[in-house]
Amino acid sequence: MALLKKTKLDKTEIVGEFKYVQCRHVTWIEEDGVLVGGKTYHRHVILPNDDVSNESAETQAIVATVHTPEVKEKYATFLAEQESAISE
Amino acid sequence: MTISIKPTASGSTIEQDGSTILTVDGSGNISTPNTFTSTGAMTGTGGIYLGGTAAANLLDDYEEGTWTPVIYGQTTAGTWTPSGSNGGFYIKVGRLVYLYGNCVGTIAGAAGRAQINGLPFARAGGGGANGNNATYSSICQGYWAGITVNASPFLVNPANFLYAHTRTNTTSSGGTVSITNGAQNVHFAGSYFTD
Repeated sequence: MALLKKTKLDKTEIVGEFKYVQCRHVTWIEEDGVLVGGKTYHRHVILPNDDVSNESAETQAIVATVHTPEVKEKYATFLAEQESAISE
Repeated sequence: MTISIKPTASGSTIEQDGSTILTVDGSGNISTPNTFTSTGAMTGTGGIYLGGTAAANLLDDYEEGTWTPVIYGQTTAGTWTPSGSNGGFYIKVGRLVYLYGNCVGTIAGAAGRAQINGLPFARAGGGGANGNNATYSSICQGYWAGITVNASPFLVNPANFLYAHTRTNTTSSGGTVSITNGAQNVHFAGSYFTD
C-alpha cells in the first residue's frame, strides 16, 4: 500500500484590466493510484509587479505573455493613484 | 399509471396519466413543472438560475480552498517568515469571496504601511456594474498583535492587498498603520467582490 500526495496547477485565469493571473493548485491523496478522499484547492494571485521566480515555468511563461511592459506601466500608474487615495 | 411520450411541433413531452411531467424543446433543453430531486451530487458547469432567468439570477461559481497570507511593508517589503499556523481559507459564492486569515510569523527589514497580500482572488474593479462600494470592502479584524496601535478593520485595496486602518470616532476616518518589525499575530475574516 502506497499513499502519495500530489499537487498540480489545474487552473490559470487572466482577469481584469491589469491582467491579474489567478492560479489554483489542486492537491489530492492517492492510495496505489486510486484517489482517496476529496481534492483541495489553494489559490494565489500574481500581480503585474510581482516576483515570479518561484513560480513554475508554465506560470512564468503565462505571466511573461500577459504582463507586458505596457500593462506593468499602466499598473504602476494605477498603484500611484491608489497611494494618493489612501490616507497616511 | 400511464406514461406516454408525445411529439410536439418542436420537441416532445413525457406525460404521466395525461399530465406533462417533462418537456424537451427543439434545442434539447429539458424542463419540468414539478420538483426535481437528486440524492447524489449534481454537476452544473454553466451554473444555475435561482429565482429567475436574468443574468443577475445566475449562480455560476462555488469554490472552497485555502490561501497563504503574507505580511509586508508598503515601501520596503521586508522578509516575512511564517509560522506553521500561518494560513487562511476562502469560500467563493458567485462573485462574493468570504475570507478567513490567520497570519502568524515574523517580519524583518520592512518599512511603510502594514499590509497583507496573497489574496485568493483579484478584487473587483471599483466602478461600473460592480459598484463603487467594492472600493471600500472591509475585513473585520479580531486583533493584530505586532503593530503598535489598535487597528481595525482592514480595507481591501483595488490593487489586491489588505491594509490595516484605525478608526477613531464618527467625525474621523482614522488612518493607516505603519509596520513594526518583529513577531506578528493577526486574525481576520470578511468578504469582498471579484469581477
